[in-house]
Amino acid sequence: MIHSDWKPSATFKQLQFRAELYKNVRAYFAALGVLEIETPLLINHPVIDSHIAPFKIADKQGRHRYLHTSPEYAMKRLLAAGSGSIYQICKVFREEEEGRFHNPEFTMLEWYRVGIDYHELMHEISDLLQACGIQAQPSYISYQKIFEQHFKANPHTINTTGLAALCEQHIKCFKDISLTSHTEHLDLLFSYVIQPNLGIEHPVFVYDFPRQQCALAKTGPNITYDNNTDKQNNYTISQRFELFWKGIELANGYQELTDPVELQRRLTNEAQTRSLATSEIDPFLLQAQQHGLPECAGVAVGLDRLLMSIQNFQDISEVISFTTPRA
Amino acid sequence: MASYNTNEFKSGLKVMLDGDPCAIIENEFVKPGKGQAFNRVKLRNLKSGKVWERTFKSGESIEAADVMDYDLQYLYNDGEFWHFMDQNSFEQHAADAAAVGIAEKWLKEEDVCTVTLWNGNPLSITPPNFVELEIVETDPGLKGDTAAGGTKPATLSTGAVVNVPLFLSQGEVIRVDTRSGEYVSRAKS
Repeated sequence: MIHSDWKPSATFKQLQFRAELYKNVRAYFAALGVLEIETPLLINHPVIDSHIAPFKIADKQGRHRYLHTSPEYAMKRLLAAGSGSIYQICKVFREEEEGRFHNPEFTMLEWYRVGIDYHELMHEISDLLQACGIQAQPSYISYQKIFEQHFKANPHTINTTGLAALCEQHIKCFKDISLTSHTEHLDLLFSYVIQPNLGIEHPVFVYDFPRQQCALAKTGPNITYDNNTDKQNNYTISQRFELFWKGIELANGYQELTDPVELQRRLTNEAQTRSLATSEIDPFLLQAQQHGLPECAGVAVGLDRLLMSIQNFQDISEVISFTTPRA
Repeated sequence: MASYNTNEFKSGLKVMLDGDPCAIIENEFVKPGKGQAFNRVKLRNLKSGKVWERTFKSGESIEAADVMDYDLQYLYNDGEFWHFMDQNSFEQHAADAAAVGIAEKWLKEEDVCTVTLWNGNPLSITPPNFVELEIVETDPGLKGDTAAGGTKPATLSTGAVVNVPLFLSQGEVIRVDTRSGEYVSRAKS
């Protein structure tokens, strides 16, 4: 502990800047008729995602509860109950995520729009950024295109051996990294080679991810025509997008999966990879989707990182009053 | 055996990698929002001094290295080893040429150096930031030439050669910054 750690790590100017951003976001959604809502931070069922770890809290009776890692499940229950389009600004918590771009507690803007698709949602984010005073116009590129630009290979058809060869070529001491799955190879290539150069000039949306990275997004066919082979390619993609600016990932959006059977299948799979009992899967979410999630697109934006990107900051502590080490 | 999880990584941490002790210089947490997290780490191999870059999957553990820094007094060189002593316990440690490396040219008897011990054996020697050494050989001093700013090479008692101002002559004691190898001033006598 350093003697000055009682002081905020962000300047007052930054705190004012944040307040201004929230004001603009709220004004934008008010004008659009999207309802601001709140959902619990303290929840009974953790998110089932093999790469996100929730903080687990035990009470005196030995019951376990969790701090939410995103408001996704609760917001989908509101949607299923008929809320219509909704948004919220909330704190979320993720264990063991700490670094220049990560604080275990951070602020998320998450919203769901009923009746619009993920391409329309990307444009809506672009409008929101404008409304928040960001002049730089975003561009749009498919995952396949950006992957081909870097690696001259198709991310939707390449096999794991092919990915390993690309990793070997582009990543130092790759043989010492014990990767176990196809998606881990994709994650490594994307975050080491592609992402650092994404959105240097202006924000960039990357959309249509490989089918293995669908999370809770819909998957769908993607048909392209290959000039070289004169053949039509048809493969499955995840109807997902991410937004990058100055090499930082800012947002993650889906065409939301509505099929309850497929939802249960995916969550069961994820639970198994994390060695969780399937009884841990949130029964409320499953019931809500069985009742019926309306066709919608949803996105989560990291507001701390957005503040960082706007001002070219290199450390998240510059925009947060007290990061976890000072909390 | 002690080990560190990637979430304990921070600069200065000493770990074993490929059988060599290393110090973490930089640790970057890299994580796609919906994907596997990695720790991209820069390490200095404490034996060779080389900087390595490695990637670990977050959550993995690596073996800790038993590496500690001590302030030890340099005693003498017996032709093969350089001997250092703990001034509290009087315990002595012998460092070989590989451990002493380029620090050799700054070692003056009785100076206190930072000796890095790995499993109790000297791994590397860091001389004091400033040492005072006698000039044993240089061109004759030019009296009065204190403003011209010219320099000339001077050989010091340890064998080190540094550039010194023209007005200095053999037999004088000077203060040198060992990190840059540059002359600082005349030693205050």
